[in-house]
Amino acid sequence: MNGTSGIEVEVAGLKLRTPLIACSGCAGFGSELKRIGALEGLGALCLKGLTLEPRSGNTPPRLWEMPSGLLNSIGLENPGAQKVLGEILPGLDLGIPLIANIAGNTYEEFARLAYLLDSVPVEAIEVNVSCPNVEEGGRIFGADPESVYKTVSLVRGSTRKKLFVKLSVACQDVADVAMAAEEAGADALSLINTVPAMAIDPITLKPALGNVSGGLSGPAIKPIALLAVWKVYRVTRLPIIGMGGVATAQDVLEFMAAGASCVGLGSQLLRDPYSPARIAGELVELRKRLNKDQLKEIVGCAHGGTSGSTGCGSRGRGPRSGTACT
Amino acid sequence: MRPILARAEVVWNIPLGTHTAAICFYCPEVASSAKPGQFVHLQLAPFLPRPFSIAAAGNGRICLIYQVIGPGTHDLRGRREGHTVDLLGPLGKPFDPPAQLNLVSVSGGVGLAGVSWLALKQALSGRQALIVHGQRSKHFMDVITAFECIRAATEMKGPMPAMLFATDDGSEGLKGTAVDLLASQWRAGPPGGIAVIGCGPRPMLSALKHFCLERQVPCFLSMEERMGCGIGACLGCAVPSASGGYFHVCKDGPVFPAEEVLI
Repeated sequence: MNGTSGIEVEVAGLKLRTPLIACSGCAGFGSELKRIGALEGLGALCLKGLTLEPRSGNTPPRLWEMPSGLLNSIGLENPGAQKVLGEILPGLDLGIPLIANIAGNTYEEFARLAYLLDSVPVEAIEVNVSCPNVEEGGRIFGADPESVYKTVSLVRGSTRKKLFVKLSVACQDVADVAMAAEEAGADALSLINTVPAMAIDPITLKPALGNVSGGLSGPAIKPIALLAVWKVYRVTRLPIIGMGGVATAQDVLEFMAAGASCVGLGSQLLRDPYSPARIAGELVELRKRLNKDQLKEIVGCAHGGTSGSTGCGSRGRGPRSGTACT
Repeated sequence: MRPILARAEVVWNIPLGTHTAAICFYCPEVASSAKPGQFVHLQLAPFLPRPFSIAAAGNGRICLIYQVIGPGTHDLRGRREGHTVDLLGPLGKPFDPPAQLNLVSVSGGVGLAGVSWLALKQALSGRQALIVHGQRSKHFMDVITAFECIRAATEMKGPMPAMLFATDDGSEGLKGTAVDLLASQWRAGPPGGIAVIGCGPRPMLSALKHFCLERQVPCFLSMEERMGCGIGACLGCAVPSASGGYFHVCKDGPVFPAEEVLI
């Protein structure tokens, strides 16, 4: 993709050649995609979730396919900060911006990870607030605005890197949580994380996943993700990385219209690791058809009023009415 | 050889039994670099690609043996001559048994596909190869037809491995499992200088692992697990390692020395 395709975007100061980011957990550390020649079309890559200590991950089975998506419970398997920072990151040469993704058991662990990542060649840190807080009975950090504020504040104080906060809809109101993240110093918001779910094995009639519960992703959750993007766009001024079921160029347009500055590709990368190149190519064509010089001109256009209007709506701390809340 | 994504054209897709079939693709880009023990990822309905062991490859063709179970394999069964399927491969690490040993391949059900190619190749090279195969009944899968079609498609000409059969219902060969059959052969006279390769249901692989370890016979297992990306990125296809933690079937396997996996 050359520099004049018109689909370049800028997110919190990061210049991306396409609005497609490989979601954390679906692209390993990037070398796996590079080995099969599948990095083309990606604007950035979010690395496998990183914890302070190595994690062996959850009991298999870890995956269960759904009619329109995927249930997973990988359990944040990763070699831990020491190995990733010392051995994996230094050798990475992917030619696109890298975003680290961090998960902690405690507030302190989040801060420590952010501090360690401050001196390595990643452009941003994505904070996964969907992991359980062992100091507060296992409730996820992202469940309420207060714990998100505390997490992001501590991380903010520990690094100069750009901070993306990855939000879950497993909370009372994603808009409140988003505002807390903004107030605490986040530079961008990634939404949504997978949706808590389970499956029963039709043969054994037992839980299909070794861990019982997992996260649902793929086209099944796209409407949930679109609504979250819509709501968050209206209450914060932060750029949004929309994710949840993005599989086609049309999906990208819809997320951008709802307010996303760019999108994340997750399960779609498992389904077809080469799809970013195809989607990016289709986006160039769609931009021309929409008669836009830059694809980013459509960001938020769904907020501009009636269907067919392409004017961008006002955003950020606006009235909460009309946000399609149920 | 790095894996590539290719559009594979169906040459034939034939039934082998009530719920089993073999399919042959023309896919020279992948066929030329594939090795016994490796697998391919097929993009089928409804969502994720499906991993299939390469039952044999050659002459620009890739042959698979499969059981129709869910939507993905139903989709595959419906593909006819001339249809295309997107295929990523070859994936995973191949078998690498000690070359000087004779080979015994032990399989259960469509696990045959995981070990058949190495056994067929070994026989062609003039070394001894024995296939010990078990399935639920005679009607489950016509192994002889499968081998005839696969050998013809991949232009394998030469000696066939010896074959012994077991069935759960006793409709063909020994009544019992492939490992029962291996054990009965062993009682008749333990062979020397062999390596065992195995593929099939997890309980069968567990029995085979313990059988071989007790007799200090080198054993290599082709493992299955629900798989996501197929390239080591998602870490979905975990199998427990004997030394703690997990291996990932797509990247570390699918072939593992038996003593290294916890089953």
